[in-house]
Amino acid sequence: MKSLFVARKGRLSFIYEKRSALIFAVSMLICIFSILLSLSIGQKYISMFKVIQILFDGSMGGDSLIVNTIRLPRTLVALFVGTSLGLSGAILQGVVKNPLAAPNIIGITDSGSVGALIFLTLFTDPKNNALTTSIFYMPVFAFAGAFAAVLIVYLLAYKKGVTPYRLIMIGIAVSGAAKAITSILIINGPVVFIKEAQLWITGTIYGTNWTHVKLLLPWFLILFIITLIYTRELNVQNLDDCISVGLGSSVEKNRFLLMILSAALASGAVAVGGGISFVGLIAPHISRKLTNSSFGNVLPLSTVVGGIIVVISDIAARTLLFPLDLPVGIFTAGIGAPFFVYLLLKSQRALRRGF
Amino acid sequence: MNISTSNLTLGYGDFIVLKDINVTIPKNKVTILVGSNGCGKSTLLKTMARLLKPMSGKVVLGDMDIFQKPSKEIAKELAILTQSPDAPPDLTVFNLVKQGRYPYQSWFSQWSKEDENIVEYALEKTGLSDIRDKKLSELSGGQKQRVWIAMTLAQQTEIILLDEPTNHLDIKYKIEVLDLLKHLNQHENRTIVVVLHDINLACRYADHIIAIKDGKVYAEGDPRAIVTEKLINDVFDINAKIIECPLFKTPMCITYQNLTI
Repeated sequence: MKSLFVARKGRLSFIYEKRSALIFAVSMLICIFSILLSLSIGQKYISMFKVIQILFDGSMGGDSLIVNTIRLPRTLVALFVGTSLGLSGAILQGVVKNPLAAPNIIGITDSGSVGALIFLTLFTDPKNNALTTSIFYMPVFAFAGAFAAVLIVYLLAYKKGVTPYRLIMIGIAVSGAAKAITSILIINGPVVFIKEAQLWITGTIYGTNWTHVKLLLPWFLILFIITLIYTRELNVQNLDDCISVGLGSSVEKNRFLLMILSAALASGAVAVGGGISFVGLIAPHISRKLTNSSFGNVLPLSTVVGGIIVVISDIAARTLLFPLDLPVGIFTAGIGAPFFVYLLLKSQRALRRGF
Repeated sequence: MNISTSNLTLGYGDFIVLKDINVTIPKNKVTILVGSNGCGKSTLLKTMARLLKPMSGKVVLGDMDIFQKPSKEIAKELAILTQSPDAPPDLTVFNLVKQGRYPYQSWFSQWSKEDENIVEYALEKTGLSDIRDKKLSELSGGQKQRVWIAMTLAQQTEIILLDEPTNHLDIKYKIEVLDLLKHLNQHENRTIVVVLHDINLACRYADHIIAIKDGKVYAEGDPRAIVTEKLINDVFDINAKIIECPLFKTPMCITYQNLTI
């Protein structure tokens, strides 16, 4: 029992693996460091020490303006888009019992794109190639599209209950259909919106501000807390259905609730950040590699890892080819994919060594 | 806690597998279900554990229809281990065995002293204490099966149902698993119900055998009383010569197709 933290008081009792707690603490430190890094570098370099001063003391002239109104909101959006995707992916992989599942595979991201493009189609004035309403309404449409996709997938997969296999197959089909609709909308849409649409599909947090933070933060926090309460259900979901039922779990009800949680998290992220890919797939993978498959370990870690990935990718996106500000999605895929391959190769080698 | 079936008819779609089954599982005994492939013995076991809904009839646990009872309450009285279940390969032994405590836990009570004691007991009983931190992918087939049995033990139920728990195991592990079940029955008075392929092992370990044939119970009772050459021939469609096992004094079948090979 020496490898476990156990806390008990009256009827309350909790357990946590020490090793996982340590790994979680380290990942939190890395996360905080990457946030500070993100606040300190850019067109004007501001030392990390000064950034910390600004954050705690408030006003410090021009630097404070850069940090508080430009870099901080964007960094926080990056952080919470990442945490949402990381958590969403971890939940989904548990629900469908498949480590290859990710929010974009079951159509959440592609349907979000459809929502965003419907917005652009409806509100672009082709005569002067300008939007007839504020671009800030686009997330609403993206969210609606993404969330609708999950409901459609669930309904279509339903046949005296839903099996993980059917969820994935129908999800892939819905995702494909959404891609087709996206193509039609882009091809027939006004020229000006092709770039806007393409940026959105790749995933970008360019120009995000405090409004986005205020939308995303409470949404993420509430869902995160609910997810923590459902952690033990997720652990059971990850076993064979027969075993879960045998343990007395309401498998169908919990599966639906967890799907909705995952979808709500991903939809929030997609609404603000567009089709940022790979985070929902690799954040849970990295977390499992670092700890084990128990969701008490995977959920918090995957959340933080997701945040780190997007924050660092965004730093790269806006500084590497400065003054070009590239969509962050290029880097989550560009850094994420090779890293993913590296992890797979490494674990294969470990297997061959007999570990 | 007694478990029995009354006029149970089971099937998939329009296809009826078992018809009007009335069996009572003897309390604190080892009951083994035997029959040829596809005879419906697994279906019967799963229905008794509320994993499948019957077409008609009911399963009675205690004095209640099992489908009227809250699932979590059932999980405290009856545990089921289905055939070669899946689990994530990088789950640790401890984390899987711990899942057996699910019906007793809630989100605010995740690891009571009782949970801890019973998981320790389950690990101990199955000889897994030393490898509790290993991942499932690192275990042998026999060890993996013991982990699943440990999980059902952690459920702390009076009744344990197991579907082919010795499938794909080497003979050494087969005996190990069955010895463990017999031990649990004899020393802890658990009621054990097992679906088993091997008729000779069934005869050795069962207090009560239920033989299924053509959707009906062909015979049930003490193996010494009911296992005959005719039973083997009818139920398994193979010829047999029955002798007494020199070690356990139970019936032993030597099966053959023809007397010339």
